[in-house]
Amino acid sequence: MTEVLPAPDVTGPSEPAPGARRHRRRGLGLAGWLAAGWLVLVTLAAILAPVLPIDEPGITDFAVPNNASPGTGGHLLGTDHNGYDILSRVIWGGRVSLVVAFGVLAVGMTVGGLVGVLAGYYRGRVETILMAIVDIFLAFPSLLLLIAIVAFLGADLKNVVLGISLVSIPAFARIARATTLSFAQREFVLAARAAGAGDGRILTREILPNVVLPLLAFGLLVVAIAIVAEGSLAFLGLTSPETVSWGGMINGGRRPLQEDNIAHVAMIPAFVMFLTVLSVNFLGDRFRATFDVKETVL
Amino acid sequence: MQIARTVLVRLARLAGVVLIVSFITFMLTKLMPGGLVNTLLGPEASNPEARAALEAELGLDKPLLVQYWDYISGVIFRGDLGIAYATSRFPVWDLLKSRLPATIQLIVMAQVISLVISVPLAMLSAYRASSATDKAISTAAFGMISLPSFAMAVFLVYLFALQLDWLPALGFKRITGPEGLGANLRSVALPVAVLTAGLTAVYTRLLRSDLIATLQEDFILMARSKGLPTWHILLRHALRPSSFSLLTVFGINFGTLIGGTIIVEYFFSIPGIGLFAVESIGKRDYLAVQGVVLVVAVAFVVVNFLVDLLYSVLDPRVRRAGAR
Amino acid sequence: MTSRAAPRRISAPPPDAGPLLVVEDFRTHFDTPAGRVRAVDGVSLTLDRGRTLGIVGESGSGKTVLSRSIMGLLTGGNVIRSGSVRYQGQELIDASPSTLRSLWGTEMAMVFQDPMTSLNPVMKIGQQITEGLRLHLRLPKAEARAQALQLLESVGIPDPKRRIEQYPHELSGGMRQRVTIAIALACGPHLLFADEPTTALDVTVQAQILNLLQQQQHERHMAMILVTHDLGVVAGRTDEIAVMYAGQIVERAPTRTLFANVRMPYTEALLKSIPKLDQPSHTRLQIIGGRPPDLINPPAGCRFAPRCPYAQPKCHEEPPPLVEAETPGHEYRCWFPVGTEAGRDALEANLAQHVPAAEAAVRGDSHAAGLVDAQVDLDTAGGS
Repeated sequence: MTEVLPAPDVTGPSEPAPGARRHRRRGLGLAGWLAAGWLVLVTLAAILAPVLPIDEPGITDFAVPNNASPGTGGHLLGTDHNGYDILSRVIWGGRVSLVVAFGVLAVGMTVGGLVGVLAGYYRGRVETILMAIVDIFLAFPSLLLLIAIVAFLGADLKNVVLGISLVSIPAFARIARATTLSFAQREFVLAARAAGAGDGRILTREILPNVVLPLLAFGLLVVAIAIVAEGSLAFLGLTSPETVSWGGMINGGRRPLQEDNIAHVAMIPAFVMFLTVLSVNFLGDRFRATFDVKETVL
Repeated sequence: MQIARTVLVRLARLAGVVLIVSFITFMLTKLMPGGLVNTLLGPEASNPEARAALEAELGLDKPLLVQYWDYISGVIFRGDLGIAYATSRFPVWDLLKSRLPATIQLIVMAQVISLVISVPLAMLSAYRASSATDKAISTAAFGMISLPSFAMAVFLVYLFALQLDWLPALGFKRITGPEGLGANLRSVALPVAVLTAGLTAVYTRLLRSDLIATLQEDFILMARSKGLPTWHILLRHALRPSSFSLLTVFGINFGTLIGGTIIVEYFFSIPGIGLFAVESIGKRDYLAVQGVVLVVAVAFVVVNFLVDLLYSVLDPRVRRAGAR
Repeated sequence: MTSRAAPRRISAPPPDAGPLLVVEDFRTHFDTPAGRVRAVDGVSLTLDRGRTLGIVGESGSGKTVLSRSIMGLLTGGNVIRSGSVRYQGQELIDASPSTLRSLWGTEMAMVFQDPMTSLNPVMKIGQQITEGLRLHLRLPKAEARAQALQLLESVGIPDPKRRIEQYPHELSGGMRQRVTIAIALACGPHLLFADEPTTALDVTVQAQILNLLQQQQHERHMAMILVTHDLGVVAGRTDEIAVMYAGQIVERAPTRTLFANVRMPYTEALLKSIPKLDQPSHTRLQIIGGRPPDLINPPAGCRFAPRCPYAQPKCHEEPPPLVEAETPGHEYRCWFPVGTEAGRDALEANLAQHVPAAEAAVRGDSHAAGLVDAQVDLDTAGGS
């Protein structure tokens, strides 16, 4: 279920079975470097898109037919159902994914992290109320919620990012709370309090620095989901048509695929999306294994 | 007697949740820009008299709470979810009824198949943890989870519809339709495959993880020391205590999948609830939207309730605690 | 992995056909990222039919690994076993999994320490007893149930008809352990491993369980290996005692001999640390200061030397071999054994030099001497 945010206790391929010979993989390994490399490529291309020597993403090339195969008429990846150059659309589509990724990290992680830390630190009523709200959100089918938000607020990119961030807040909150709980019991917090430090100081000096890293590691996994979520919305045609998005490209490729037997228009963005999400997931999982957040505290 | 009371309390709480969700949706529809009136009136939308007349006809001029009460009492006492003005003028309930079978078929098939596949896969993976087999299975599962459903749909359609031409690339044939069961199964094969892939990946990883933990327990060592064969230990001793997370997620997914089939229904043009929801939101058909949300919320809540019940059947420790 | 062949049963040999279990220079090492852990490092013992052997040692001595490894229960790619373990003449090291499975339950069985975790929490008691009966002895359901009821009665569980349908959490700790014993005995094994069978139980229940084990053993003419950290447990209940330290047997003797003629200082220290009724109240408990040695890099000489009151320079350099004492069947490992002139001289020398371990041993408590590592001595939960 890629539309639904994963339960935080889902682990990745890097978890070995206990008792087996443990090869501590130092560094990223070949797969990790490949993943990182791909992400760097996508990010760079996205940032540099306006200055790269590629076609305009929204201009029809009348010299070649629509849905032209890769390689015709100077289009490295061919053209789509509107005659647009696919390569440039893939690159521009990366920008949207990038914006979504950072937006979710900025908004979702900040707000969700705050909620979770407060809940985990203060416990009691505060925790019960906050986590009850979080759980209600977590339980509802997130895609439906997203669609509703976008429909009610309008389809521009800002709202999409906002909506996805909103939906990601519960997951961040739970992780932040779990991490906070495990740290708040530890001795250095007690020591700080015994020395007369107030709550604010403890929170900023002792708890927060320790929570940020595991949260960030989890954040990468959420980024992967966020990219898929944006892609889903674009795929359903619910985002603004002027913004180039991989999901939208796949949607455009449906008719060529299903009715005209032409695959590349949908396959290329699908492939790009798969590689990107896989890379983010893989790296996020590696980082998470490094920090080993004890989700059992949830 | 105690059990009956707990059950009633639970049901009351669930009903409360449904009401809250429905109310929130209702309020949100009131905020929708555009709105039903604009859609219906079209070019006359700026005419204040026409607006007033339509609003009175639709009952939109009454105070908000009264509107909600009218709606919810209609639902509870008469089963009347209103009329889908913007789309077809059919009663919402009828529309929903006609769209439910397709979605339900997709969900049930996907869930059952994925459970059948994931349990043996997880057992194999956990028993041979860290072996080549396990690594292959775990990597495949990880890859599946990273693959968005619409991307997977593209690949599957490319392979099975374009290259091999075994299955149709879109469309839905009813079981009761002229071409019968065969055509129906062929038309849902790819959509179900997409759903199953994602579910299987999640279930396999979940069960594998729990099984590995259970296999470390002392009672497994004890079972081995009794000379019991491996398959017996896996199936009879290890599986049951490890299945709680899996069953929870499995149960919950019956609820979440109702909204979660949206992508697949849209891709393959399957006339189900999910697609209906998207269409209605797009057309600002607020009654249809409310109807869908209500159905989804109720289904979700009922499923969770049943999952809770199942827990006490499976784990005798929970049964005892609940009966106190 | 599961062989389809019928399980090979070992036919019962004629009586006096030799010892039941022969262990020779047995080693069990674990390959870990930190190094090779030598949990069992050269253990030899024999056990005859119907006899009881007690294996005594603190946490980390290797006693639990020993019993599980003898049975062959340890799996994992990092387990390395060497030496020889022969059951009724058949070599168990490198035996195939199906051979081992045919022996487990029917010839040898184990009772584990914590009955709460060694019983499957979601399976009824009865089923946990009968599954062995139905699989190994191929008994039909009704007969298996009847036998299960008999077993429950013989281990002293009242109202077995009701209990057989219950789940583990519905029974008390003592009753759970009785059930575990019933399960272990179900198929009539000839060798029973009891791995700290009473450690997790209330003191009042401990004696009952030990008595039960003894009674069953006599009735079935079964050999038993009783693994424990508590010398008091094995005192009146074993024919022979082997004391383990850091993966090796450091003293082995018939029970009475051990208590009467202790030779190895570690055994002496263990004996001294048993609280006695005739001591005045508030007598400080005697502990053994220091920690068990690192099993990855054990010390060059005698492994107990760092904590030994009698230790001399030779002890730190040369590992003492297992030698016979005057009484036959009594072996020990020590250069300056207790109760000999060499030993007495060694202790004097240490006292003269104010060696802390020696002073503490003589004075009777270790706190004043600064050896305050009190969590060491006799085992807390956690096993070896």
